[in-house]
Amino acid sequence: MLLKLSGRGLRALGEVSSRPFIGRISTDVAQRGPNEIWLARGGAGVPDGFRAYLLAGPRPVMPPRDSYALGPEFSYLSDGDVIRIEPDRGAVHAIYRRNSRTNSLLVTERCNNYCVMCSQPPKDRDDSWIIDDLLQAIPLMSPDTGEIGITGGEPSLLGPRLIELVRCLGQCLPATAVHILSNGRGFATGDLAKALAQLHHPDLMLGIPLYADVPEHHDYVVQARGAFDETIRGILNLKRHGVRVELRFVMHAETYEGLPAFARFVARNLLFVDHVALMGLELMGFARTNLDALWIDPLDYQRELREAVETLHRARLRVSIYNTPLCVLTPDLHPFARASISDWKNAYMDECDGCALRTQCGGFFASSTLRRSRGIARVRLG
Amino acid sequence: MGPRAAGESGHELALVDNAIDLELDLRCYRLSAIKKAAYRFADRFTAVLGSPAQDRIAISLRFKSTVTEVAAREATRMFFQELLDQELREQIAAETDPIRTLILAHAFSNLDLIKREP
Amino acid sequence: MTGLHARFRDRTAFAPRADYRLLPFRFIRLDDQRYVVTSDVGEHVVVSRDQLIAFARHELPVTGALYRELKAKHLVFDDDSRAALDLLAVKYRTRVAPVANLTGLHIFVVTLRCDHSCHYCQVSRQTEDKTRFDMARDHADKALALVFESPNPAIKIEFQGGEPLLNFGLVKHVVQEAERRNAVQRRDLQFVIASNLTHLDDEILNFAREHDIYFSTSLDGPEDLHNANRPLRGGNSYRAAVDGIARARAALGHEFVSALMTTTPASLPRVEDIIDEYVRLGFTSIFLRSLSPYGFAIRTRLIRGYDIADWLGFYQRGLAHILAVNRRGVQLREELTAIALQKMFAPLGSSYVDLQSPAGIAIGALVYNYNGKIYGSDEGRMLAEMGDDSFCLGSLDDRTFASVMTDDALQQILEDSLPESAPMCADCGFLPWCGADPTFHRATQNDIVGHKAFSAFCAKQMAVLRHLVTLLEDDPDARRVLMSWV
Ligand code: SF4
Ligand code: SF4
Repeated sequence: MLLKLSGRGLRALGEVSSRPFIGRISTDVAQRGPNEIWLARGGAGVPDGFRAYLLAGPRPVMPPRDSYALGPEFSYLSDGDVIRIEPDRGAVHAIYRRNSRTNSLLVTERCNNYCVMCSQPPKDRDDSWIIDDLLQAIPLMSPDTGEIGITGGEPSLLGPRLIELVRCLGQCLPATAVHILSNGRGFATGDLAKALAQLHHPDLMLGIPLYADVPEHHDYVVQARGAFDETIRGILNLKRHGVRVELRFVMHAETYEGLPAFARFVARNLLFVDHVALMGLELMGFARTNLDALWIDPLDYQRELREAVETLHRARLRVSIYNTPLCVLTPDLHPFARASISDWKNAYMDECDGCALRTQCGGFFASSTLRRSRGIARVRLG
Repeated sequence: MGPRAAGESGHELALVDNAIDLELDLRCYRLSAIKKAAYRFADRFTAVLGSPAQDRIAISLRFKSTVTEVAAREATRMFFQELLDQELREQIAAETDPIRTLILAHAFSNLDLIKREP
Repeated sequence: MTGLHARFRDRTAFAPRADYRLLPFRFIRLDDQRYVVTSDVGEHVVVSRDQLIAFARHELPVTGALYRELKAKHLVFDDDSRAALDLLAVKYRTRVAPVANLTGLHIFVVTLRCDHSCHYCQVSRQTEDKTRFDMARDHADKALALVFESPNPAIKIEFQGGEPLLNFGLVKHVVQEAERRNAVQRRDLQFVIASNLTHLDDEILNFAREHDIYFSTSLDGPEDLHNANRPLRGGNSYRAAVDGIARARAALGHEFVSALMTTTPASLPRVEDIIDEYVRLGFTSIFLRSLSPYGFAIRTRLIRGYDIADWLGFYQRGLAHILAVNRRGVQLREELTAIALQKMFAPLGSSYVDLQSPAGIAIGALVYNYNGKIYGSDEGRMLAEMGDDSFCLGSLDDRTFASVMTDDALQQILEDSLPESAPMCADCGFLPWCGADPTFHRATQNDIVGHKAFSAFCAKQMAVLRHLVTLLEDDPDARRVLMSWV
């Protein structure tokens, strides 16, 4: 199932606010409040005291202010979800879904890298309003949320505002793990790493992509000269201050040959990182733009992948393989494979029906139908 | 003796009284390199250095009395290789010693060793 | 390969600028064609002489594979790789981190008495005289106080002899007392008894099980060789050892028993037999040691019985055999090799006392002798048995941990024996993988630094390291097995 997280699914039923606003979906009258948005799937009665009303059923006679008819593509919205409504465009955007295992908050679309396979191509425009919204949205999220991801763009470009955001997460959702995807460059100098560390967030991890053992190759992949140097310094700085760091390596035609050297480099230089994630290519964004240049059947890099995993594992680093169907991996790599693709992104193919590994398998990004590995084949346990 | 060090072509080497006498060009091998190479070969011969005159220095490789001419020549040939290596080492050291000092200072200036979490 | 979309730049836009700078490195000849180049922190590259010269003269093409390797291993840097200096700094620190922990291994010589009369034994006595050759309880208590003054979070207490089980009462006392202290201190505490296992009884085994005590025993090879090396009056020492191994494993678990072998002239032609014996008995590790230059061994001129070249042949044949055994699917690792590989491929230095830099003396291990004297290494006390007490660090009666560590003589030894300042070692390409062995050089050359051109230690190091690098370079099968030992 693919969910549409934002779109113009609202039709105003009467008078509406002039500015965008944020609120939490509720179907319980007792929850009424200035940040709550009433969701009605049917029935006529509309309770008062809510910030806005999303009505999937019949139009009430006297719709309160900020009442909207909700399009069917948003029928998945449910209690506890946090949304942003733009009345003038009739747009709704699901910032947070309570029932999802993985919620990612995009904090900016700006970035100082320009990765050849970026799944979320950066846009260079002022989007500082996003973080204001998020600071409003976070207090509305459920404290038993398992994990929140922070993505971009490049979050560290926000500087002190990123710190503000993480502080807010730590205060409002103290039991929620926070995973920030950053290219690390913003932590190379200055006090950002220290400020982040001083928040003493109980469960914080930075996921930082590193694509090679030498600058020339990494810089090429991220299309920014000097990026490797800053990323490495950023990692050192973060670890020096005690922030947990995960390295992320996306495997594609321009990186896979360097996997073994990358692994040796990490085992020798960055032994103190907390996790190394080796990831299959998601065919989105620039990966699509550069599809022919970047696509390689994962079957064709198993040797390099195997060697890298061996090196990292022997060095007692925690290592995981993501975004790769199990049937494509050699069996000795299965223990390292993790099923992690967010629920709204993953899909299976016909072969997967009746496959013995299906429950453990990550399956595919829905986008991967563009290219498929020769190795996809139902696995039957003998 | 020609302008190059004697013996570098091999056939000029002669074992006389258990010794092979050479003259080295100090423009090719600095004195420290010659001394270090000689130290390394102390198990095969004792090198007696003369005093440097202009760009040259005499060096006498004194072997044990049991040495054969073949073995002495082979040791001398290896000694010349070692001289080249040692000269290269001196060059590299001269070039890299400052940066080593710099990195060491940097490494031990603050002792907050990055540790792996348990 | 199809190119990227036009808005992306291709690789050439990110190529390094043409000039580079050298980072500190050393080199040494590997064979007639090749050199080993090592950085201060022990990373290495094997190059031809021409490559070495081009590299040193700044003439390497910066887009070539060799340049990339040198740069990744921090032997060169350029404008794009200033982070190399930061990473190097971290690696320097990581290498010395174990030194900062100070002593982790503490050896208690609880008695010199023994019922074996091994030809190579440096120290033991065949006597019933307990008062003269057993450690006093008072000394044991003082030693324990010292042990817990060390800041090391991991502490290993090893009981040696003689045959420590002949003074089992004291072993028990030390274990119980150490555990009592550790109830508060919460270190990672481990006990090992180095024993010939002839005296194992149920009381000992029960005690060992309750306290997770490991046993390290001697096994020199097949029955005839073992018995020839290790005569036991009125008995078969091989049978006793094999029996003891089985009983200890049954009582404690397979991994609680390890074995050490000693190489004698009689072992030299039989390395395959020795290894097969270890495999037969289910050991997963073997240590092809060379004969040490201490004690009886030197007095009885055993050490003259073979020279370093013979031992090297023994080692190389042994390693080849062990690699073959591994290829058959049997796991067996050779410890001397593993230590060297550890130094070559792991960022932390080795913790093996003989091969540390600064010398492992006192920093790696402290030995509390039966008579209350303290030594910086087991070899140090053996040298003392030969009448050279230069590695004695005082007596338990008047020493604290701090006073041992700050002892002037010790500081002097550590400083003098630093390979970085020793002639020959200072610019040896193997230095980052080597170490200082001041006790050995004191024993053989009467000088703690030693002239390395005459040093069997150096000859052995060079030969072993050359052999290993060659295997790693030229034999992919061997490389696979060797890398699994790191
Ligand atoms: S067939 Fe489908 S479910 Fe099975 S391993 Fe392959 S991708 Fe996973
Ligand atoms: S002892 Fe020998 S091998 Fe070791 S560093 Fe010194 S010269 Fe090199």
